[in-house]
Amino acid sequence: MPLYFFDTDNGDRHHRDDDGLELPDDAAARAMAQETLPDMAHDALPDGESRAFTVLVRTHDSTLLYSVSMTMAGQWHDGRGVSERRSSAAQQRSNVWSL
Amino acid sequence: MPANNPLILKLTQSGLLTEEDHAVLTEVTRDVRHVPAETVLVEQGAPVEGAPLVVSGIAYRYRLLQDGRRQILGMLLPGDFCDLQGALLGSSDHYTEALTDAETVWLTRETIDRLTLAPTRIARALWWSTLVDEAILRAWLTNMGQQEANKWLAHFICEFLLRLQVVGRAQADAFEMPFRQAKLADILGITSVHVSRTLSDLRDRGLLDLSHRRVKIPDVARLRAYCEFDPSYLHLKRPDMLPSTAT
Repeated sequence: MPLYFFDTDNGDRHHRDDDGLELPDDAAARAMAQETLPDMAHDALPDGESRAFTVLVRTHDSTLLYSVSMTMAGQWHDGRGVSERRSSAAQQRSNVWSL
Repeated sequence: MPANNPLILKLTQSGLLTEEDHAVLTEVTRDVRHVPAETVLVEQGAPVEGAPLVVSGIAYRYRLLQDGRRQILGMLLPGDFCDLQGALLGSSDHYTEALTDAETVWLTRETIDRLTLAPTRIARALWWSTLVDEAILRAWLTNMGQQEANKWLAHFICEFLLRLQVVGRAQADAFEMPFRQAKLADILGITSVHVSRTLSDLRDRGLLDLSHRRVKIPDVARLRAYCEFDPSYLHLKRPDMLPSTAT
């Protein structure tokens, strides 16, 4: 079975997978990446109003094969939280990461 | 059967046994048979006559969904009965399978009746053991439903270490991890990828070391505090027989 590597990021912590996981095929790797997102969201206590969860799937030679992300975006509608939105935008920028 | 009979070691923790009971337990655990890893010991729904007891190695209970997804419901360590209730209920509501190469003793229904249906210390100790199994399941459910994965995994490791220590199969701060990530995923109810992420988080926090499947815990008290592990739910009445870090 082919080996796939899954790098994960929840906005706070990036984990690069150096061990890999054997799965039957690309479809199984895609399903694994997608199913991991709600697990990550379950763990991350909402801090602020914006959060992005990402899983990248790499092949054995480090080629990016697939990526999937999930975003939480909360917003008050009674006039408060303007400054919070500004700080969460800054947080989002710091969340950008690459291979 | 080795001198350190795991059934005696385990039931001693009930605080109910005396030396006289040891002979009876040694007698019923004499006929050991070897089973290779991945052998199904009890099939879900199949009629059950008697119950297997794990003597060495590790087994586990699980249920399957129709699409093949699996939830692991309990780890069976040396000294644990696979399904004492099954002998009374007539069939099992879950699978029991050997995780590693294992040795088991198959107790017949007659033997189980003799041990459990008389007003003896051994019958009370087996009741204790069954009730502790339920307490473990409650702890798992609470963690699975409410706890974040890194604390749930840490709690599982604290529990596994202590249960191995009860039967003399672990050091004060280390044990051999008998399962791969996919099995941990089926225990915790998360994906293998999230298990990998979670293990790396615990390593980064300095809470555990994992190399060549050997788990070492630098500071057991710190790991316990991190995941709110309080061993009182295991109802171990003989802490004097455990390593000092265990109590």
